[in-house]
Amino acid sequence: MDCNNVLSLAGLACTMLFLSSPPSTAQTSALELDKNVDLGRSVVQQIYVAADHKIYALQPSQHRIAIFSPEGSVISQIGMIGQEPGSFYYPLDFSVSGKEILVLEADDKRVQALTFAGRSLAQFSLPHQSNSITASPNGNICVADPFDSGLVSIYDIHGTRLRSFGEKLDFSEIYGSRHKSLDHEYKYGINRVLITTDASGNIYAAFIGVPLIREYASSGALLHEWKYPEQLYSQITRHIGDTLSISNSERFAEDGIPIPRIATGIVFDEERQLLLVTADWDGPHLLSLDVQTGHYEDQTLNDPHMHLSHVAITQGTHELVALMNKSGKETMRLYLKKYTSTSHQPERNTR
Amino acid sequence: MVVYGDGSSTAAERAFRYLEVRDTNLLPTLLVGDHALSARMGTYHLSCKRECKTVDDRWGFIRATLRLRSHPYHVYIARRNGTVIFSDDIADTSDIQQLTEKYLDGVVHYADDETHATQSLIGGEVSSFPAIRVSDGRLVTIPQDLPDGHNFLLFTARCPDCSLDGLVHVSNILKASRLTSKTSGVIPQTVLFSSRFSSRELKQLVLASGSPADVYQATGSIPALEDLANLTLSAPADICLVRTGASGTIIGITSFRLSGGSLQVVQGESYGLQ
Repeated sequence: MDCNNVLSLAGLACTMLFLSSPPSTAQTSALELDKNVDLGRSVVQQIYVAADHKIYALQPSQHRIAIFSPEGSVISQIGMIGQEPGSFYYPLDFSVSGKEILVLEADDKRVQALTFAGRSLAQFSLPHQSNSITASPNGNICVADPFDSGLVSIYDIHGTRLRSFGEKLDFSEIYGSRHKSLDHEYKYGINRVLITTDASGNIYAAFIGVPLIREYASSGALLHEWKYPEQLYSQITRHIGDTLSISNSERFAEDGIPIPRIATGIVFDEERQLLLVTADWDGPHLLSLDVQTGHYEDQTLNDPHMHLSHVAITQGTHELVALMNKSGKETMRLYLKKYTSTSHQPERNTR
Repeated sequence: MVVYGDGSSTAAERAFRYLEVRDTNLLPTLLVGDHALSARMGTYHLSCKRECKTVDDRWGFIRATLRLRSHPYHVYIARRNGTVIFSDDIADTSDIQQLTEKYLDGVVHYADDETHATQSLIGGEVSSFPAIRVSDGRLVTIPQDLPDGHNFLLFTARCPDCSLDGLVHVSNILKASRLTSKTSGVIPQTVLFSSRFSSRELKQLVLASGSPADVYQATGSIPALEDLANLTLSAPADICLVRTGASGTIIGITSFRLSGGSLQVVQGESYGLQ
């Protein structure tokens, strides 16, 4: 995976937009941060905060999940460099399910299930390079895989593929019909999603390169589709559609195509029934989507140099945890805050 | 460990330069490459007095046997029975460091943990440990018997071989310490060396340097601080400035690294050693 490249594309003309509903509106507010914890200089790719406030931070270049104390000292770790069971090589994502941890290694295309003590329980190989993994409440494993027939593929713990679902997008559907010629080149990249689940087994997918969020039932049926708040959606689609350039992009080895890195993190807050998505566009955004009412809130940080890379919810206390780092500086900083949300209704696409 | 590289590969060389500072007796190390690499590197002399031959794979038989993709280099680790336990072509220098430490020591030292290790000692106490005053061989207990408000410079090292090399630099530092202390007076007059240094050579060095510092050498491991140093300091002659309060509580640790004959702060506040 290669980040921060400049996406630069050549465009053409053509047809229609498939999303008929207008983008939603949302209340905007400043994201106020409370206490923070320094997680050091290594890039952290994913976080989980346990009920005892220990911070589990996935560090790809350290090939481990570092376990930090609430004060920010490394107290132990899960895994170290290697390719045998229980070791990792450039892990890209992880997800916690009960007493198990699922770890996704992108380059080795491997999924491992481990105990919190780091003992390997099971492992299997994926057919393609995935970028996101989440544990389903029924014990199955969801991985983002646009090379499969859908967006998301479901496996059992033994690695048997059960199904794939999720209608794919074309680049030109979002960024303008005049870019129809780019659809083939971007048919995989533009369908990369970040995924998470709720306690009912519903699966939420935020497109990395498209300002769009979807909710699927565990069966794979599409339940809802939400565009980002109207102003943000318009800014993103107009800018990319007009210029075909973006300063923050992401490239995966499987197809090597740079895609806009808009969505950076996703988590479902069971306590408040909120879907939280972090996004980068002229600075960091924290989008809180009430999946019951469809209310949206767009919280922004008044610092365009700050990168909001992931979001999590502390187990037990349900504090919001935001992982950030400053552009040009490597220190990863974890912010925790008591989360409150005030929002109002967006347009909601049900298909 | 086998590193496979072609003639244009600098990664293979970087891997071996990292191995230079390690005792590789525990694991056979081999550099396999094409004719260009073989001609360029020949027999590679590791600083720990071992030779590592470059195998000329000009016809690519070994590459084919190992089923390596066409890539400038490939790191390949196998057990003595031939079982491959690691194989990849994207391993960078940091990965090779981690792999080497894992399979040689069973423990990987992460540079990023250093910061946290340093911070976690602040507020703790320096546990007592015995040391010898180098100038006269008198046995003392540190920190109780230290003058100068219990502040001291700690010279430590991860491996004895590296420490011996580091003594050359230590001499310069001691001289610099004398000059600085005359002008600013901020250099602690107490200098503590790890037990891993050669006592004989240390004494010779201290006498030759004419340092005004009171120089001690620990007789064994230094509780906490040397653990810290082992975690924190990887260069041959890294230094910690340890500041303690009147009760022996550690109030500050500044880590330094030698670079081009001068000291650079690695972690912590500057304290007159620039």
